[in-house]
Amino acid sequence: MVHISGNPTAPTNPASTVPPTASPASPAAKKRRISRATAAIIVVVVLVAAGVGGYFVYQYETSSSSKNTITVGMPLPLNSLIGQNMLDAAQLAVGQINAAGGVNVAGTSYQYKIVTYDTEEADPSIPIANGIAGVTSLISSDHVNFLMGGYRSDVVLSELPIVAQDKELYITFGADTGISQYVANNYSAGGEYIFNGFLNTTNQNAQYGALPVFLLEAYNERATTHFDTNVTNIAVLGEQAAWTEADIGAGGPASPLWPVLKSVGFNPVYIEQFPLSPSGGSYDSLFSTLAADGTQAIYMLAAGTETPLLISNYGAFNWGADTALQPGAVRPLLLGADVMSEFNGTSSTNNYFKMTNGASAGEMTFGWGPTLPTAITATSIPFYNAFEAAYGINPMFADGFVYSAFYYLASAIEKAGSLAPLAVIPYLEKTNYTGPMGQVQFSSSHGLLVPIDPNPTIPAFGMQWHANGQLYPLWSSLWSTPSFLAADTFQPGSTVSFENYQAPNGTEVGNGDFTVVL
Amino acid sequence: MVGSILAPVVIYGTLFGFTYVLLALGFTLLLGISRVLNLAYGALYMVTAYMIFYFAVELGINLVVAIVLAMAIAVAVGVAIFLLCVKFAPDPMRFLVVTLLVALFLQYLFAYPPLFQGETGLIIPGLIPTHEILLYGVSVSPVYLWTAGVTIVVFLGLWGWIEWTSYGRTVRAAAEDPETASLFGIRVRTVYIVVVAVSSAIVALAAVLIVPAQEVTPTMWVEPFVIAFVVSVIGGLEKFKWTLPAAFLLSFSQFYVQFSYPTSSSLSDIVAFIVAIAFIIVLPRGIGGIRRGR
Repeated sequence: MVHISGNPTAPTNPASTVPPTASPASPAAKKRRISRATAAIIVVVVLVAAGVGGYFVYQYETSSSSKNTITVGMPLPLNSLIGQNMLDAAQLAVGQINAAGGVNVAGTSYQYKIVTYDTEEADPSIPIANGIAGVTSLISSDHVNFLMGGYRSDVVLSELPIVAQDKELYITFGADTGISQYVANNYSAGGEYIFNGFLNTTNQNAQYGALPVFLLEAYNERATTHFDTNVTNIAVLGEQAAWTEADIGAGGPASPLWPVLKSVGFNPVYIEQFPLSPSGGSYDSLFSTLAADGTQAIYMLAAGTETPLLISNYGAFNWGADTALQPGAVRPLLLGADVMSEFNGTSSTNNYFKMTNGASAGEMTFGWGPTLPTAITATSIPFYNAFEAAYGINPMFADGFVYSAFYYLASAIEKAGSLAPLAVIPYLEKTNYTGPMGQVQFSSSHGLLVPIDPNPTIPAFGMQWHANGQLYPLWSSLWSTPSFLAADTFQPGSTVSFENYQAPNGTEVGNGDFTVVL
Repeated sequence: MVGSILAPVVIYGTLFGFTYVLLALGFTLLLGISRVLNLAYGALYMVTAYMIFYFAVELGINLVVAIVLAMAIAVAVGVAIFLLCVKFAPDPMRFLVVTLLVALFLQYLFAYPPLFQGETGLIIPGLIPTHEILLYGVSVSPVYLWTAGVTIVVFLGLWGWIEWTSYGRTVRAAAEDPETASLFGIRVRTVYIVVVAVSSAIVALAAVLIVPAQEVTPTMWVEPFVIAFVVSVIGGLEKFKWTLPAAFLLSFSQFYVQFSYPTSSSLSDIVAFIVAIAFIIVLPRGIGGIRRGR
């Protein structure tokens, strides 16, 4: 109990200071009753006027929007960098399409319009109810023509029954294979209204099923050519999210990745999910375990905003030896799928490098789409340049998919000559659109088709942070195989600078230039 | 097995034990003196971190000046929240609810992208180098070594202030029996405000020391609050001196479990709550109750 000086025991009851109610017979009370009645009438009149006025404004807005506008509702985690980037990509596409004359629907030009709902779903603690509220609001209150968005798979999955019931066409960007399963299981019962505009887990695994193997062999190829060292002991750290469970499984030797790594000569030492919030706010004890296991490389599976802390801890951690060149630099190689590591802002801001206090130097990561200005398709570099010019930051992994979705939706609408979802669906199913990150085609269950051989339609794209604070496309002779894109920035014979970089065995290899091998 | 985990358990258990003491000290002090559960306590940790980022990184002000300004703002916010609650939510239940709402308000305020960077973690500069050193083969951050030293000084200073100064006696009198204390001319309200200010300054100091080794996010207030709360429960919710054994019991339990079961990363966090719940059931008055034979 909080007591205040003077009379700490006296109850602080503001209500006790209110005077008793006046007698009904008194003139003053009568006057007050009249004034109250007048006030009540004024309030009622104002409310009625506001209601009537609002109704006409609503009718006007609705009629005008339905006349020449295609409204796309986007439930996105707008309080996060990832969600903001997705919206930026959407607005870039909308701006370009509208400026070019809009979408031609049976001879009439329509302009795209975006309505958003912030689901905050990039934060793993946000409940799935936010997504449900988002699509419900966009459908019922905003009366959107189409839905496009979503990020966290569990949130997207929770939205699907509502979308299917209301028969709204929804292009979503969740990564869970369950989205396509939902479409297959509920086709003709509303499921046909849902398309997955992003690579789902099955497609991702088809493409990079043994990604650590590719990356590590790429590294070892480079290492044996240039640095005379090899990585064998590998740890895999996955963030605590549904999408990493397919690879991490029960963890340790029971993980599906364990035999994959063993089969190609690597020695897995630790495969687990890492905590989003470590004890005491530090990952030191986790790294102590990895150091004791003789870890030479850490493979990451992470998409959340907690990874800069993990990486900066990894950089500050003392792995067993100090050198004058770089204290604590004898550390495992860092590589894998780390969404935050795609974020360099611009080549001058290098945001992720700063977030990690430079600990990301040497980290190899991958994604899809032109996160760096690389010609995956003819539209990749124009998209990158337009995005950076408009927003001052680089696109991230999902942005090429969002940008493309507005284009292939427009194409399907034009072919259908209608905004009716049921008319658009057959043409959307036949999509064959080449965007900045590759070629978009849908499977029968509305997932993206990603043929691997002889050429991937949506190729993975590798990058590496260098000690000079720059993010470069990743190169390797192995990455010139069809499964991976050989970054065109690095042509055979071009020169790459390395500064202050050490191989995992502590061999100093930095401070010099060497020739790229492709 | 025991030999291989002994060094990291002892070293991390000790260093993080001191960190937990510093995090819990202000919370337990305020709880013991004024008998209120201030759920906005962790939010002051977050306010300090964001203010350091704003002054030192956004405005480019000298780091020492930025830290002083950030701590001053945290203390002012702490006192303002207390006065707000005393004015509008004087009973303990409403005090608890309002302080929780204030903490959540601050969380969403700092998550608002135009103000900072939304959910993205920010790095703030610190006075202590973050490159770690080897201590008996265990990598430790100088941040936690300094935090341990500062915690000892703060703990002893606080103990001395409460036990051996005339104002400390005033504080104890106000805590023991506020009605009688006020009859003797003690301005209980002023005493509470001073204690709130000291409590806020301690948690702000913890942020200054620890956050440069971590990152700044809108949800960063939760963990220090949980640690402070659990340590207070184990200590007995009354005397701040019991935070010392309570914090070490918690940290050693956590790191023993973490190194014994390294593949179960969340198990050590669960341990904190198991220990706290066990104390509530077996020793409701915590470690402080053991001494009194309860």
